[in-house]
Amino acid sequence: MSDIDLIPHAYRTRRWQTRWLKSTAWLVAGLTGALMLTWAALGLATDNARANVAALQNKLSHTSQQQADIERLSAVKTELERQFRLLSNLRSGTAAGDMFVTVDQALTSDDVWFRNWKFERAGVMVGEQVETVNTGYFVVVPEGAEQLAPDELRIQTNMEIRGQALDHSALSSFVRRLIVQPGIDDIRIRRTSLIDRNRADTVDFELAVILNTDVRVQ
Amino acid sequence: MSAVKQWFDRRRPAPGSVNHGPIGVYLTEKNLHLVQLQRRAEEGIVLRSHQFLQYPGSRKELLASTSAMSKLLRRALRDGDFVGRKVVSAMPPEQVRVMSLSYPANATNSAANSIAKLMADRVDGPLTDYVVDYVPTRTGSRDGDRLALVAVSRLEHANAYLDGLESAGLHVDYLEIGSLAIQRLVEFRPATNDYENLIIVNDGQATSHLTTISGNRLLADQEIGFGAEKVLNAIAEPLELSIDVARDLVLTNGLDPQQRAPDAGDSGFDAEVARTLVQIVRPEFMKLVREIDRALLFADSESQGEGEKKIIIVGEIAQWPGVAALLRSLTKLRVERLGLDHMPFATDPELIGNINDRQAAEMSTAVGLALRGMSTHE
Repeated sequence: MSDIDLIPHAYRTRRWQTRWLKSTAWLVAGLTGALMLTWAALGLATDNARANVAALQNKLSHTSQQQADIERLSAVKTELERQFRLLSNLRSGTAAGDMFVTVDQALTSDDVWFRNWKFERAGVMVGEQVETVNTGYFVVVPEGAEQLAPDELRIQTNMEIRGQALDHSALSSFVRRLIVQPGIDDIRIRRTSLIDRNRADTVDFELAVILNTDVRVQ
Repeated sequence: MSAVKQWFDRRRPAPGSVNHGPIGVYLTEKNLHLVQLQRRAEEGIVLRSHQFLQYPGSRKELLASTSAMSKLLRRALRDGDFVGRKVVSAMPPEQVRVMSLSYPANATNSAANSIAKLMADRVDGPLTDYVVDYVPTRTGSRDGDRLALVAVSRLEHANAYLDGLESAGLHVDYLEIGSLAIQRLVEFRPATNDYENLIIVNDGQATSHLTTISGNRLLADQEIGFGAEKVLNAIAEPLELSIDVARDLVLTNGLDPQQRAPDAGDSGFDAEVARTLVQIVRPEFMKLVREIDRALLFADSESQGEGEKKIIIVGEIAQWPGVAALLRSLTKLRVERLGLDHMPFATDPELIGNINDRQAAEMSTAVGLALRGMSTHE
């Protein structure tokens, strides 16, 4: 059965439009609210992430500082160890008394005698340059020449002997006997000269004896 | 917290319920009625909620104020246990005209166009100032004319009334006329639906509405110059009584001197007074009878004069003791008072003791409106 309905068409249309607008408004409001909530949540998450990043950066900075401290302290330790080794080496090595025995063993006769004897132990700074041989045209680096690090400190124990010998032969014999003695690394004759001694010529010499207590401290 | 719980409880479907109907809203002459029905699997249709509130002033004053109407409706909705806000309502009788209109069956014009052309000549001003709807009552005849029941209301009245309902948060699904709601109600129960031609007399104070139904077709709905006030005036003036005293006299003695009406007052009944009252009101009732005869003649013409005839009376006069007997004696037809027996929830045992015939009659239009969409006849 069809019934009478007195609701004006315009009224129904207006009501439908109002409802549609309300629904749309609610939908938009809901979406806006959801977006705002999402935005707020993302903002909160970003803030948290930023705080975490800042904390990590702070921790990293702290760690870097600690690393720098460790490196600095390691350098200090290395330097102190180097100094300790230097000190230890300076305090060790061939005893002066032993040197008297060694030299005495090389002295087999009275044709060599000493006028002045100096025993020296010290650290020597050694440069990068290695010892070379000048052949006239070429500078030849000796095979197996040791490359030294810059600012290397070499501990050397030297003896400087000034004396006289009856002749160069006696001096030469003495040097040959001395150089084969244990503990002797090298002997360099710095100077020889003939002098008149009681109308007899004698050889005045000056030797540098390098003992093999060479210690390098880096 | 409890308010929230109540809100959820109110919206929780009751056990066994199938669906809720719309809220029927109707403004009688003195009261606002809101009725909602629900269909249950076991009991059928039952009354979910009913609220009625008396207007602070007249219906005319209430209709003039959207805010007053909204306030009253909100109060009724708050006090009642209603579900949803869908509403079926009817225009107040004074703001709608209902007429039977014969229109030519013209192939070139649709029924709507034919009716619109005819209605344009029958209203004041342009037809666009009105809202018009119709129900075809006869679609074919020997002379080719068709018949429709047409309802017309001023657009401003319809809009104002709808605004009043919407301002209370209600959503009006349909705006009907009261006679359609009464027809739906009386046709709902098979036990009371035992007629071919039916006249419903819905009486008001100054005027009444006579609704003619033939074979489940609403043929006519006309306003007649018969009402409670006129009948009471007919008693009060010769006896030099006030209207209220005349009403008390009728309610005490009734209009059936032969047999004391069962619902008449226990004290003060006087058969002689009742006989005198009948003599006084008879001329007024004869006006009604003439209108009824005319309506039945029209109904007979539409239904080839066959079938049972019945009169149902509803309104203040219907509640007077002995009025059905008086009308029966004048028309020689079956006369019933619209009451609880006609309600769709008449068999609900919970309501039998709570609602009497008078209350049922008062809320009948609202019940008929609330039945829209729930009745199997639709």
